[in-house]
Amino acid sequence: MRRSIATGIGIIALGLPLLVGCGDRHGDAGGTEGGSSSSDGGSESGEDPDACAPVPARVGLQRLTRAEYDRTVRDLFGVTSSPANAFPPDSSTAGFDNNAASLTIGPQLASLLLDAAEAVAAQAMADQRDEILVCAPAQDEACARQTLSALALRVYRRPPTETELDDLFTVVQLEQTEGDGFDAGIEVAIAAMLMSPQFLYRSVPSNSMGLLSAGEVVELDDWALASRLSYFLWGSTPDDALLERAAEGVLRDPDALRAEFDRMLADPKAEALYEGFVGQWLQLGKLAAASPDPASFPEFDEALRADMLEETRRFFEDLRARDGSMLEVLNGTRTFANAELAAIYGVAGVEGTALVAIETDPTERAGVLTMPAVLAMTSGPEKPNIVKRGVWLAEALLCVVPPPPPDGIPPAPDPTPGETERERLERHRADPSCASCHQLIDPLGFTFEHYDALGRWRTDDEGQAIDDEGQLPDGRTYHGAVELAELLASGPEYPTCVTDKLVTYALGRTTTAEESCMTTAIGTETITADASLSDLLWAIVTSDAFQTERMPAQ
Amino acid sequence: MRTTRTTSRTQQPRATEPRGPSRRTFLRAAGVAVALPALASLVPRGARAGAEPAPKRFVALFFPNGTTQRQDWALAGSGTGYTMGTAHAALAPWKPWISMFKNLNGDYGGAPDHSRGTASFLTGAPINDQITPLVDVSIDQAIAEMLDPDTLLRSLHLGPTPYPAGPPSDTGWPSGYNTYISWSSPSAPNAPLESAQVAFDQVFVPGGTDPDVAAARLRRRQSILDHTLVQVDAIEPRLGTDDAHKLDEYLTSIREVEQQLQNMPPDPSCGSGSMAPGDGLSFPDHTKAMLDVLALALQCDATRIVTYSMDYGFGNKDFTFLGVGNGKHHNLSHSGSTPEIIANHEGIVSWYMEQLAYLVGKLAAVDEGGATLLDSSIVYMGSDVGDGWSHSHADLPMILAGGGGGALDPGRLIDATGASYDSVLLALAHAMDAPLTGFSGASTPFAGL
Repeated sequence: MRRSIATGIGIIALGLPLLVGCGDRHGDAGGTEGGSSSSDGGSESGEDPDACAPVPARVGLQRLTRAEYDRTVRDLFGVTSSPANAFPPDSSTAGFDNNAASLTIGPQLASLLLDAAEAVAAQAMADQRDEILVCAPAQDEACARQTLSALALRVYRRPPTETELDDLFTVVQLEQTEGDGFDAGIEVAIAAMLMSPQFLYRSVPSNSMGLLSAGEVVELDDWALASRLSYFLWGSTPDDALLERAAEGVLRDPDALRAEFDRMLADPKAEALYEGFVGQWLQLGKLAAASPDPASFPEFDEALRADMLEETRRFFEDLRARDGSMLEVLNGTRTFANAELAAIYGVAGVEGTALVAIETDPTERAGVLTMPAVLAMTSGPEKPNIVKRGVWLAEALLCVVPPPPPDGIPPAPDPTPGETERERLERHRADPSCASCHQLIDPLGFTFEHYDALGRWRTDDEGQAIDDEGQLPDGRTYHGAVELAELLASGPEYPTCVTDKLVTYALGRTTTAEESCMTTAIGTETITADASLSDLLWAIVTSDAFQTERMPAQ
Repeated sequence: MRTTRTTSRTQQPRATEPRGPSRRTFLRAAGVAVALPALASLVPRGARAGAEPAPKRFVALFFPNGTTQRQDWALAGSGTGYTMGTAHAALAPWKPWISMFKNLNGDYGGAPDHSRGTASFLTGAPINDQITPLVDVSIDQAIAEMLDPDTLLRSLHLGPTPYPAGPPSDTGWPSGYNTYISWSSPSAPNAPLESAQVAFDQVFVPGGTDPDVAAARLRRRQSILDHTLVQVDAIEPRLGTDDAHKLDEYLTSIREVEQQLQNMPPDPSCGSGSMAPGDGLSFPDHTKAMLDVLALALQCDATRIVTYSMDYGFGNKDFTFLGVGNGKHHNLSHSGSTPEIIANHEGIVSWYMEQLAYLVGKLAAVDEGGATLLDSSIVYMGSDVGDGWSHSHADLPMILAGGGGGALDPGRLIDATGASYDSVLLALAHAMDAPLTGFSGASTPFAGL
């Protein structure tokens, strides 16, 4: 049986989008929500996950996101027309659009879901009729039920109950009564399945889990576990092989689960981890809003913007393929570039438009921290935006979320001639109402002073010397991104933060304050130089949070 | 909760609209046995036309990031003698139909960031929940609930071109607060359509006019939804109380789609000559196409209530097409105090006012038997903040256009000094003949519309 990695007690406060009190000089991950034994969280470093109390919580009804819907109908029926493009946008909670709290179904979406269900069903019957009609040419009731049962297993991600089968057969019968034939009956039944809550919400408890009482903790059954695993790694529905394992009831066996986990992580469909998780974690959508001034940066165009984003994808796909350490996000020097990107990196010998593997200068470059995509999306048209860079670092890598600016806050002062950005911001922080937040944000932003608005290394800022001294929320100081990467690689903040975000994504809910024990334990154990991405993902998959549900108290 | 709405509306006789033979008549003729709501009478097209005044329409238009509160929005004078700002040049020909608010302050229950301001635009409500987007019923839905118009769509909700990575997210808040301006319940936002083509297809259901084909399609869709309702009932006992709101919202939405199946689509001749907008439009082309769909939906009485987020709160659309250089909207609104940047932000505000002028012109061109569509409409346009740079919620840039079927006295500068924001929203409902006893924190409607 699966070994729980969580028993015992130990609490620091992290979890939830953390709004630090900016006035708190040490307002880092441990500082504000109480219960922390130290402000830098250092004492929790390396804690045994078994020392954490099990604190599973319930994911609310979790509708498929637009991306999940498209991948799911692709994998079920080979439909690649992305029908969810017509749907209204999904919004996000804690930075992730698969969060159950933000996934609703309003009337306009319901109407478009009905359109999509009909269109997908029609195309499925047109393209996969022979696979779907498992007992053709028979068209009797037994055959209809056999067909529906096989379909419902895949669409509902678990075997249908007898009642569910009866309900679907009623749909077929009604259509057949109207003289539209067996095929048409099955087609309408497929559309009915695609409109059902069992399909649209991926967290409807299976029947085998029974009726839960308030506060009760239950282990997911194999079907629910298969779904959770599949949407975590693939952003899509379980395939037939995974459903077979679930039918055999072996997924609670660690070896059987591990075999499926390894198979799925190696599958090209696991690229959904980049599309679904990495892009939102690192806020790469902001790159679309970057607008370098054409006069100052004539080399910037839409192709380069796309290349910058492509580099991040290739970096993570390479990391997954090699099963590297998540520390490479901080200190990796292996990345991908074409001629344009290589010019930004100052790496010679790269030609052409295709991205190829390069090694960057380890004295200047540090993984994602210094990637052109990140540095460009946190810059203004002419120059780096120190505040944006600081906010990004705080939110994405430290899980410290500054609160919105307070009421009546004055705009930052305009620069005076000869003044550096650092001097201007120091003048800004002289105003106490600004200082409370900006003394947290700005020193993080100074980390990147050696990189211009495209991410090129610069040795001076319009003739002024570069001062890249930065400061972490706990007061530790350092110079530049490379030193910051070393600091973050040795402390619990970054591993805990990334783990928290991965768990948030994996479960589709924000973590609870009590779960910070788990995220710290998993992070510090599996985000090290010796541990790999799969170690991290596996620790999450085998955690109590992933494998159980707790019904809320009534 | 609004699960009883469809039940109640089906009891009501169809009163005013001149329409073609109902879908029910036509289904009977086709010999289709489908349970349809009992209608009091089946009135042939035009039989009741003439004496009835045109129905009132409500349109809410949202644009983000406020104004510069400089010359662009410098409102002077008073009453009908007021003068507009430089951003309002395109509105000058329509000034007799345009009123602008002065000293209308938001009340956001906190610092006026974009999320708070956007959420408050039609709700007047504060936000607090940082995980689940929770606001309150918005005024458009309160009006829809009370008037319960017997139109194809109860209300229509439109949005901007899609953002590649999803709608903009404000630090610390779920992005839903910026994404949604219309709320059917505190937890049920009306997510907007981001495709003018999809919106067009919602109003003019594609699929031809062959009655047999249409009847078969209706029967299939009804069968699918009947199945859905049974499944919802079946899973409900297995869910926690946390999910009750969500399931209820799903159920309500399904019932609303069911109701749409029963409602009469607009007369196909109404939209004749209008072009399907197509996909993949640029932001300015999309905006024009959405305004076309909006006007057409009102003209054809496919709906009487529309909200349109022309961009989301915290919106950062690229306005380079205006020739304003590096023209990302939100960036520009915070970029500094140099004259060039200010001029760029003002140019964007002017552009939004040009879109309003375009819509007003379209509504004014539709004759509804002596009065125009503009005469019978209330168009309420505004933003999340006043001064975009400081996020001030003071002196919000709110505009009223149209005659409201005689309920408005347009063409004036409306001095809202001392009025609560809620009371203005309540007054809009009263002007729509939806006499709510109260809205948000207000029980007395603002008297100055």
